[in-house]
Amino acid sequence: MTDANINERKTPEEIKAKILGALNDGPLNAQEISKAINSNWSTVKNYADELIREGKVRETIFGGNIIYQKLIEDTYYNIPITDKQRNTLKFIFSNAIRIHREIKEEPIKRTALAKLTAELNSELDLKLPVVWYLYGPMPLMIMDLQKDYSTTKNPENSDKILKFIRGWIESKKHAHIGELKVEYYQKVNNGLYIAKETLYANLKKGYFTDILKLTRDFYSKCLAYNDHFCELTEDFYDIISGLNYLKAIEKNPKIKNQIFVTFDSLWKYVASKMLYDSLLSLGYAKEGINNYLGSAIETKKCLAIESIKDLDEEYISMLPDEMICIKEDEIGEKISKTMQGLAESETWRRDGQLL
Amino acid sequence: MKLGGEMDSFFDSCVIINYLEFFLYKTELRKRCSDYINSNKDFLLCAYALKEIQWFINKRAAQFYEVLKKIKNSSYKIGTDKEARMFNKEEIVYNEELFEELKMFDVKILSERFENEISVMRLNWRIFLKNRIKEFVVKEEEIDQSLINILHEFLTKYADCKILASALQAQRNRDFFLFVTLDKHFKENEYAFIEEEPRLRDYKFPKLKNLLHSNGRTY
Repeated sequence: MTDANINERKTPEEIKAKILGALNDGPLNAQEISKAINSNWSTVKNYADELIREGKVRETIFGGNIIYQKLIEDTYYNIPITDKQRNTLKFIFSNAIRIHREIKEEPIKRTALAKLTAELNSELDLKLPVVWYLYGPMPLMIMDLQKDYSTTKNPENSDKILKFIRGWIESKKHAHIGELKVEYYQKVNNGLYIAKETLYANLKKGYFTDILKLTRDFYSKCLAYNDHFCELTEDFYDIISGLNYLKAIEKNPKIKNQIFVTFDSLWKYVASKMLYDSLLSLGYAKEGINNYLGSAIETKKCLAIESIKDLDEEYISMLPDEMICIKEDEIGEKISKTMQGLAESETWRRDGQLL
Repeated sequence: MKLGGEMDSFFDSCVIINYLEFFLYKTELRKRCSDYINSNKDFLLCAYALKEIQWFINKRAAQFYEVLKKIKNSSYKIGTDKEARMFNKEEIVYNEELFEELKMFDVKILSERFENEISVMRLNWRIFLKNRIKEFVVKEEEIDQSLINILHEFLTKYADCKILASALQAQRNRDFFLFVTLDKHFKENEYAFIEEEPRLRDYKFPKLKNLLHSNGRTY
């Protein structure tokens, strides 16, 4: 059967539907679409252009090739999810909104809905696209509380889902959103998010007494996670450590706000990398994720770098001219003895693998 | 060479590390580094040394953290935490040794001391960078891999090769400077031997100043 024969039997709407179907699993170039729907390249190109004009597809350049990406308005970063996942999420959202109003007589908050969905997903093993982002786990489908999510397609285990939703809302009846977040982070033992939440809450309230310890904790959790964003968190920790030692934070209220802003932009970058890793673990292809998130992550990284540089400039302007000396004591002597041996052994060097 | 015979100094990481440590613990070697830095000016620092020193400080902080974890929780096995993955086996032995030396001290006092040491080390590092470095030379992407490979035939430590390669590249278009090190790998003959290598004949070699020797002799 030739392409011409195939095309003769398809209406333009059918071809466009097939193109959209092919793009369900991720972006493709014209050649790949043509292969997937068994149609020739120029036909695909023409209808893909029509879909762009209709606002259903977007064209981007990736790795030197033009690729087409389906615009999915109900998911974050247009990341595709399956229809089954979409229906299950709609079922959860609509019922959670309804039951919450019934029990608590007020609308559910987005963070609570996200936590509920995440717990439900892991408890009933629903295999939903739940990712870690700014405020912890959340479904990939955008949660718009004004939207009508009602669906006629009930998922297989709808009774269990409904029971869980009701039980969850009942049990969290008096919980504050912040507590819900921390409770979930503790439950899944995510130290990085616990450290972030604690530091964030302190900075937001203007409590800077424990800032060094909390920043150190956040940095160490980043270090334990992986090397992706360690350099930036290290720079942030370095500045906080110096400012704290110089007692410059208390003396300069302006810098408090700058620290908060800097941490906020740093976290946005770190969280975008967490989102990236979540998608990887959900089985999304690296190339596809790069296409959806690549530029967003780069932008967040640039903003974080800029923010840290601004804070660093302030810090540098506060540095004393003279080096600071620590009084020698017994502890220092003991550290000195061991550390001298370590320094001389040169085992601390990564042997050239630093850069 | 500059008028008056004053040469710029290009630093190996270990000189700066010893200099920074001088403000925490005084030893003869650290004092020698401090004296050298205090009596000279016009310092050059390459990107690799910059990273390495930063790495050293971070490791020191993590070492202290390991010791504190062990003191707070005796069942903790040093080197097993996720954060401790930056340490190799030999370093873990040093961390255990450090714990043995310090375990009799009160955890609160120890914690404060550690915090102060790291903060001061970080601060002094920034003060040094701000006030003493004349120029940052040879970016990480500029280090010539083929040059590193040749140097690796003479020097066992890859990190030494990267620093020396940076020094040779920095030396190309400028007056002779001093390559200031504190390194047992750079002995008098070894350096001369490298200089005689035909594949390196196009390179100008900086003057070697090894502070490991008490007279800080320039070869």
